[in-house]
Amino acid sequence: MGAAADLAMALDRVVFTREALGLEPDGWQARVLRWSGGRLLMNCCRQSGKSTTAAVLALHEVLYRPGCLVLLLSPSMRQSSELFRKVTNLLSRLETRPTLTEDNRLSLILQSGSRVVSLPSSEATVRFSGASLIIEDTGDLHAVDHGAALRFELGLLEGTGHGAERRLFGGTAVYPGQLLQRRSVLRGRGNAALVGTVSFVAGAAAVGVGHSGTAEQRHHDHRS
Amino acid sequence: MPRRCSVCDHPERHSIDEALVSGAPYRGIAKRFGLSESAVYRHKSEHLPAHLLKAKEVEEAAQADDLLDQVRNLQTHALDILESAEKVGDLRTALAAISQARGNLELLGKLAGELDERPVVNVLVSAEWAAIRATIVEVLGPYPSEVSSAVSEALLELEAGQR
Repeated sequence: MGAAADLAMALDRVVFTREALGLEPDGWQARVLRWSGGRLLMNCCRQSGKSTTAAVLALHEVLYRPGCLVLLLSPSMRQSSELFRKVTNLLSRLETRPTLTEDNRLSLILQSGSRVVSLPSSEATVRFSGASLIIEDTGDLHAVDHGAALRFELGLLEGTGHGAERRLFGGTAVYPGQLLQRRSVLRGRGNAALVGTVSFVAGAAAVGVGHSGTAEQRHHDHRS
Repeated sequence: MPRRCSVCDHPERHSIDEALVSGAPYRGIAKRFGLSESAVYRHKSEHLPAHLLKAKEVEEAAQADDLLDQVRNLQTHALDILESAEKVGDLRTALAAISQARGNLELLGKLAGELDERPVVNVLVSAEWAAIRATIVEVLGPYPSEVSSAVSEALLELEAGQR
């Protein structure tokens, strides 16, 4: 690989996903990977590839942004470490692995000083600030306890908001009303661009990412 | 301006090359042809393979082929000695033959261009390149993603030799 290809991958995460990881992103994944706004809501069904997409974003950030901090947060330690494992799995796909100065079950540090740390949200709100990218995943908590999931997302916005540049919220809100509430909660804490993804019943494939009203409409159309 | 190689300019250069290929000691060659030992060593390590390759392609083709054949003959001979030494259990001779055969292989590899001993520096892992790359990414960051994608696409074309 030459310098031109290396720079091409640094500039475009879709190119990075194809060339360095050997994965072909779906259309909606490509849009998420090229997202450049401050907040992104990824409301996808199970097995749609949202965790992999989030892991690619995390890996790209630490590889090409020296000294950055990426936080992977979930309500439980188990969920956080699952996402972290995705990141390490992707790391092992690289032809030339970067030198790691720390590599354990919960975090890794590259020689450039960039870090990926996975934590349950309760610890993150206390210990970390200044992350360049925060990825949270409520998993299916919205389906089980929507109120708790909303409180968790709101808590993250308030508790880890010290200098975070970008936030990615993953998880599955099953009903259109839940999706609207999620968007309202996230949008209410800033003016950053928000992209809503379409939500599907379990087992169906995700088909797109939309701004503003389009997401709810597709959601509604699909469920009806 | 770099100094020219005294062996390359020597009127008996071919004889010197033959002596080097046959494995004669540097000191003996230097004394025989009125050269310094370091000049002979430098010539062998830096100029001899290039000379043989060049000679193979141009007017010295015959000479070069002759030298290549000599190296090959030496290799055959070394392997014969190795086989004989192994049969009689002479381990010391066998080890010496292995060492000689390895040296012959290295020389043949150099002649074939298969061994490149020049240090390889991977700029892609250097701190300087990482800083350059990070700066470009950071500067393009505020612009729409289409800008970065377009630059990325052009770079891929460049990498593929299509620009």
